[in-house]
Amino acid sequence: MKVSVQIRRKQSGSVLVISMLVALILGLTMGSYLYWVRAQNIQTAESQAWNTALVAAESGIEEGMAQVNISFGNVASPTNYLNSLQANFGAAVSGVYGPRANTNLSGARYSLIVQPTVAGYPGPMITATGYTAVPYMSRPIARTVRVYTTTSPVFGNAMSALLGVTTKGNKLTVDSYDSTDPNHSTNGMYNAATRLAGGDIASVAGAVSIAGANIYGHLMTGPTGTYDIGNNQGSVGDLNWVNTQKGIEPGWYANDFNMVATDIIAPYASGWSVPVNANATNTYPLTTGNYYVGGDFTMNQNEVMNVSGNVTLYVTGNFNMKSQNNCSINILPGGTLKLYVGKDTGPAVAAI
Amino acid sequence: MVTMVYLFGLRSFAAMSNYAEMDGKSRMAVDLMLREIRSADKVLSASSSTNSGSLTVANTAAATTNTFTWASDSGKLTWAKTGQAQRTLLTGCDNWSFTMYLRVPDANGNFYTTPTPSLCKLINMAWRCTRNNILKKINSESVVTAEVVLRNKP
Repeated sequence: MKVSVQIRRKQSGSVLVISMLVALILGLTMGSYLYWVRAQNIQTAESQAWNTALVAAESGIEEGMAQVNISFGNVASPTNYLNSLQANFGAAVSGVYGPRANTNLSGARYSLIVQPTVAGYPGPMITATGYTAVPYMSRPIARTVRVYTTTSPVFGNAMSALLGVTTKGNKLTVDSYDSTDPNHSTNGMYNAATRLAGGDIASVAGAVSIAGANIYGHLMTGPTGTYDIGNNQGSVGDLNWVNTQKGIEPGWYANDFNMVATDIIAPYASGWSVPVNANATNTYPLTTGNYYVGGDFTMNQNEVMNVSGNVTLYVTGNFNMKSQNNCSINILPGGTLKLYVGKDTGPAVAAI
Repeated sequence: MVTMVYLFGLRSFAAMSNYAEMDGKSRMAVDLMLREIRSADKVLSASSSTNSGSLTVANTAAATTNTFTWASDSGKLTWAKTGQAQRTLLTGCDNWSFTMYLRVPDANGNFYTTPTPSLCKLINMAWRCTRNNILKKINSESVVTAEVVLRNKP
């Protein structure tokens, strides 16, 4: 009897040890597994925070871009953004505005500075840093984006329209010149012999129809826009192409044109009447001043408008040039012409 | 019971290891590719199919070109930059595709796609990587998508 009791005690002890070992192994396995799960979870969260920081920095860049473009459309001072910059960012320190912090984002924030003058670059420099933290660890992440900017004209094309461009006849030529380059101008003035192929025509939407015109430049439409080159009578391309061939030169048409055009406000409600001269060589002699036409204005056969000063002409109705009948507008040396057509409200009008 | 726990644990550990490795490489690939594409000013060439793909962008100011190439047979996405040795960004990459977009959004804010590299302003990329897990190619899959704008494209 004693023997059998001793044997049972030995067996019970072995079971206990084995059970504890198995439990230990299972516990270690479970613990390790949970630790790996936690590590994976943190890694995923860190990856998300890493990407979020870049998005936050980009948001800062967008705010900076909006700030330096605050005067967009202001013809008199398109780059005058410094007053607004100082109001929003505070006074400049060593030529740098900011930092300006934005803490309104969910789970992130950013800080940005704007440096208006940077050697070697035409525009201001914007630097934005996005900040986030890795969840569960509160470990900060910071990513910085720096942007060097440049300025570009609002109307970078010879003709830009929101809804379609139509030319008629076979005598229209669109080109460009560089008044700062003596190889492409004469005393700073246009010379057809040294023209450049920068006479781009573009429309955000609608159709561009150039008929038989010669366009020394690109033709651009929006993604849904169309174009017509008058049964292949017109020509679009570089100097050599337009001088020798018809149609559009490969690579000189693009359908990604887009632009923001601010609404044009009528310049005034009254002004000088347009003088009429019976002499057909200068039917409408315009000198410096503000001219006003209440209704349509039509230039008929062989009529000429000579602009010899700084002229603003406001036509509230349609502006119609009978181009097929040799009428023309001549802007003489020293002259400028601002032409407004239509009213702020009411039916649409045309300048053709 | 012990054998089942062992096998389950083994596969779980292998899956976790695969995920960690793929996540790390994908994140590195995203950062490197986005850095180069963001600073590029034009897409020189682009081709994409079910078996291969290639995208070349140029940074004129830095006088560099970057070519990203994927082949299904090797499962590798490689990056070649002017003046640098070719580098493998991803391995076990079963698919890599991209779509090019114009700069112009439609009325709903979506961008128009374009097949023309010279008109590309925005690129959307996606890839899928997988890893073997205990004799079977399952359970370890990493899918990544990224959109990047060619900031310097005029």
